[in-house]
Amino acid sequence: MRVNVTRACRRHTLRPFTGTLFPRRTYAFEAPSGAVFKVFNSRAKWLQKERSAANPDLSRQADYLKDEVAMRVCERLLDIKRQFPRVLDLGANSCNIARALTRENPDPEPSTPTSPPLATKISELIAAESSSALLYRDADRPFNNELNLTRHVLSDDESLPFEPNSFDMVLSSLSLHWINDLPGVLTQINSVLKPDSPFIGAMLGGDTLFELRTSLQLAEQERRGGISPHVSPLADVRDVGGLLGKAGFQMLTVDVEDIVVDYPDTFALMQDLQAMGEGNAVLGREMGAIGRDILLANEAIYRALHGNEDGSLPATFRIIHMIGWKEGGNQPKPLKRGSGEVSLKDILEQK
Amino acid sequence: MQSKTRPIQKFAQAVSKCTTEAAVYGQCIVADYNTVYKNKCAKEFMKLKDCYLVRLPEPLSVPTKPTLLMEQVAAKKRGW
Repeated sequence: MRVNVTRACRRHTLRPFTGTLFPRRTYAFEAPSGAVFKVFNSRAKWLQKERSAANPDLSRQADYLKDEVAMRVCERLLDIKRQFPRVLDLGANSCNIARALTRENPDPEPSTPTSPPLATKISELIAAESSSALLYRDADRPFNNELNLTRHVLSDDESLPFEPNSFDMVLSSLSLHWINDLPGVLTQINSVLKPDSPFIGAMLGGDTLFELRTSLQLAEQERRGGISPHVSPLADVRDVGGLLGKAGFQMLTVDVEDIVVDYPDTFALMQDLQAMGEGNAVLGREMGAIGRDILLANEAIYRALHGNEDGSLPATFRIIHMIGWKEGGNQPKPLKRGSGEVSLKDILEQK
Repeated sequence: MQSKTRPIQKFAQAVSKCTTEAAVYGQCIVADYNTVYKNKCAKEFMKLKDCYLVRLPEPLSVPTKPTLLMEQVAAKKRGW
């Protein structure tokens, strides 16, 4: 065991041996960082991602959700008529955003004969991700040549090693829901952005997988008489607006959409979640696999409680989309409180 | 790695053959899911479990059926 004491203190403790091996700490000092409430085991999450990428075929098969959300995130770029020299993709997974950007333009202009993919708006894309196996999984695929993509392996999910004011846009798709210190990471995103630059993100939230959550709870309650967490606690839509505002973003847009995927049975659902690298990584979980009895009971309860008429089982993924702009430039700002001269209510009632 | 069937897939296959028992157990829970306590539907669950255990394909290493049945009896005694 090593005990760190300052020099002055050490001299003080060189008294004749009085029976205790370790010097008594005579002063209090502050913990190195602010207290962050830890919910997720980031090492377990990293391991899950590495393992999922170790089987590329299965992992690619289960990429449907991440690809779909990445496409929806990229579609939001159409609203911004700008060129982005340097863009960060935070929590890139297997570079799903890069792949979505190189697809055909989802909203081609009818007046022009050819419509280039969205990737032409971006000069350099930096994909940052903590799991290198997942990040480099598709490094030999053709889409890599269609845009200037740099891969960056993060040593820590929650601290960005980039300089302040260095990016023209930050994108993030389906990775922020594993962050312990979401306010801290949003503040860092705000800091690496250049003034008057957007952050466009999407994360799982709210009622995601509520079917699985409830049926597993009921199964454990009936079989074992108690429950342990199997589905992460997730941020709610109302929280996200507040968090973005707190991190210093302006002109916020937060919206929600549900993607419901039908599975043949609960085992297919859980296997796909595992292949996505989206397994349970809650710190307080019971370690080890879920017992067969629980799985058996869960299958029956899920079907009885949520099953579709055709025998398939729906699983809801609630995606929270967020857009925030870093303050700066001649950005439109809300007027001062109380400066309005016309009541909106009057106008609406006149109509 | 994927050429072998994962044990969980054999399990899933066996469970998929017990839809009637599963429906009975599911209804027992869902009928009043606000007051679920331990072993509330133990009888229904045991029927479901018996059904899947019989339909589980035998692993190659485990010898014969009688032992499997004995294991079931033992498992029941242990109150699984």
